[in-house]
Amino acid sequence: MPSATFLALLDRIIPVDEWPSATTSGVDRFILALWQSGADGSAGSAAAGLEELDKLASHAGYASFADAPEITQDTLLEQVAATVWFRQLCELAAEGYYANPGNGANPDAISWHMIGYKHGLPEGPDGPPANRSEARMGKLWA
Amino acid sequence: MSMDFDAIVVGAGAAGGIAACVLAEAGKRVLLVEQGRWRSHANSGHRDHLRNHRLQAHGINTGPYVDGHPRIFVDASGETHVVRPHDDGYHNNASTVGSGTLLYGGLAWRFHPDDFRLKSRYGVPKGSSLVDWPISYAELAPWYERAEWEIGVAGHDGDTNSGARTRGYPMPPLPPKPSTAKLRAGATNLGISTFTPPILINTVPRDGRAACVQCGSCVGFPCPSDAKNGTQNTVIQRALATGRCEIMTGTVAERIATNARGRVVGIDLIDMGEGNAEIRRRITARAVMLSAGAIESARLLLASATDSEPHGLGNNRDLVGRNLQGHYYPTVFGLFEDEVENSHGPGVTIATTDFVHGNEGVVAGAMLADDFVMLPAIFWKQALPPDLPRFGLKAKHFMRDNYRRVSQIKGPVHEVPAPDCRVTLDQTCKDRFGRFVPRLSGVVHPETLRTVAAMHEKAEAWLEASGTIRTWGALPAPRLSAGQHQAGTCRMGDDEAISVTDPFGRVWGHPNLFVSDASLHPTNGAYNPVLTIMAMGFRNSDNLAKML
Ligand SMILES: Cc1cc2nc3c(=O)[nH]c(=O)nc-3n(C[C@H](O)[C@H](O)[C@H](O)COP(=O)(O)OP(=O)(O)OC[C@H]3O[C@@H](n4cnc5c(N)ncnc54)[C@H](O)[C@@H]3O)c2cc1C
Ligand code: SF4
Repeated sequence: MPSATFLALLDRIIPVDEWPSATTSGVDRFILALWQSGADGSAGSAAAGLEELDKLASHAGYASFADAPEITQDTLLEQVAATVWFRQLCELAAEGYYANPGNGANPDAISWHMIGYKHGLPEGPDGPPANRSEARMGKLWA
Repeated sequence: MSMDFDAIVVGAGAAGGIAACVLAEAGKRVLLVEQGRWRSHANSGHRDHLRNHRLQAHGINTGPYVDGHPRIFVDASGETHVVRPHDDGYHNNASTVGSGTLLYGGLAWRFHPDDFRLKSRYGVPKGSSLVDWPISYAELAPWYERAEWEIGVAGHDGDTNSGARTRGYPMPPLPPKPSTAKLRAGATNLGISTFTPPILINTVPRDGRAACVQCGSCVGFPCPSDAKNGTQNTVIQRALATGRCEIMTGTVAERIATNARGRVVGIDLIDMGEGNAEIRRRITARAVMLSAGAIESARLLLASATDSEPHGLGNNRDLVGRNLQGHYYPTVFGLFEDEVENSHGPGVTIATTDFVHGNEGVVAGAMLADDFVMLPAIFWKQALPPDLPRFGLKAKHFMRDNYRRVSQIKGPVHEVPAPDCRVTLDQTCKDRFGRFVPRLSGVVHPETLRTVAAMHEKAEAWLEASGTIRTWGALPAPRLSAGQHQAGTCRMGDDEAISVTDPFGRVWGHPNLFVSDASLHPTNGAYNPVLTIMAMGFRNSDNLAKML
């Protein structure tokens, strides 16, 4: 179960406007899947970072980062903006948000509508299906 | 399988595919050995935007497989890393029938006549191993023409700096996009000549295959309309059609087989088979041609030591694997007021060759051009201004508002070779077959970085003159250069003392062992290299066919 802090932070990294936020777009599931498979090694440092963020929130008088109002969340976030874990998390969030839907986030390639990217493929945004015997860890997947 | 081969060609990529065709059509019996497999849009065209040969964030889309094929990479600070095929330091190209030619953007350049004589034109910078090519542009010109017509290039005669051509291109050039006119106007303001770059893509139906349908994900993927002309859908098909060429895919050349006197007799192969069954066998032939790419061809020579050549075949002068080079790519992005990008592939529409030579105070230069259509995830990773936060609405709105407003100018810098940039065999790390793996080390020559900075300025000035609101782009740091344009590790030459092969790719001291791929390039040109690799492939295999 992803922590409320993780979800709240993702939605400040990619906030909602007229287009979906990170979690509405499935970015949390995308990142958790990468962490669970071991394809990305930043889970530990992110967990420590999220704890740090909760501590900063409690110093500011909130039960947790998720409980703080968005405007406070954004100020707290500035304090960790230069850390490696935070920058890695932003990178993963963008990967999920802007990659093809087959990667688990970005349903209906909605972010592509937002930016005006046209895939132009006869089969749809993911192209032909992945070859299942090869789309596996250790083969074509890291 | 019949066993009486005239020649074994190792590697079914750019040069290897051509060798198989030329030899088989000349009546020779050829075995083409490829570690990768047959791939096409249908079985490998899946658009995984995070796992492909343009963005390898979590894997790739051909091979080698992520597990079992490590290399050792020594970074610029001297630290050693075990790297996997999708990692930066691996310097992967691709592993499939066709190699990079299945996936490439297909920019199809002839090198400039003076690219063949850099030493004569500029002198030898200290610490470099700069040499002239042993052949001239004029000698290669007819073979360039063969590559353009037999593989299939779209283009026009707009390059006022190019060497002499006797024939046009078989197909009309690519269409423009909205940025093209702005970049052309900017160039004209600066007195820069421009034209549409030549490309190995069907702009009209040709050779029994359709034209490009301008999808939004060109470079790094197989083509949905099979409009990319690679070796897998042209010359390799011709080779197989002769009935004299056999291809073994999923098969690794382990080492070059020699007899007791150190003479080459064939290749020791590992057939990976289905599952994990590995079948090892020796196949003999009258001649062996290595076309495994600049890193793996050098590795094969190094891994095939004999009593008389204890450091590898052709390596008694410690030259095999040295002078590894590629292309530094200075890149500048520019933000326009209007929407200038339309996500139509391929996306390269305008180039200049005015800065390939004659730049004040630096060695050589680069062809400069706009770039291939960018996947959104690649745009995020490469094209954002350095001062833009990577979180919050600012980042999101930049993507929303400017994905279609940012264009770029970049180009491959003609590098000054350095002998310390090299492939050696690591003596500790083995791959899944028990072979010692390549160890890649060295840092690009400082003169290359000076040319990079000069080309960066030219690109910036061009964008600024084209009506951009602002431009950005970081100068690349010193590191090893190789990557998809890897070259130089078995340089050819007239002088046995300073080259690995003769001017036709025959390894000195070995009457029947040849290299034919980017390894031969004494220098790698100020352009994408594949048309030169192909032209050399035609020339060298034509020579071998006459000898056999
Ligand atoms: C995504 C991408 C885009 C590119 N775009 C361009 C472009 O626009 N213009 C351009 O000029 N160039 C481009 N290139 C580069 C171009 O593809 C290479 O320069 C060219 O393919 C190199 O040719 P080569 O013959 O030296 O080796 P390769 O074509 O790499 O062929 C080597 C082959 O040998 C096989 N092999 C290696 N070792 C063994 C072994 N031991 N046993 C059996 N088989 C083996 C490999 O699997 C491979 O198939 C691009 C490359 C890529 C990947
Ligand atoms: S842009 Fe054209 S050539 Fe490139 S992959 Fe798409 S359809 Fe093929």
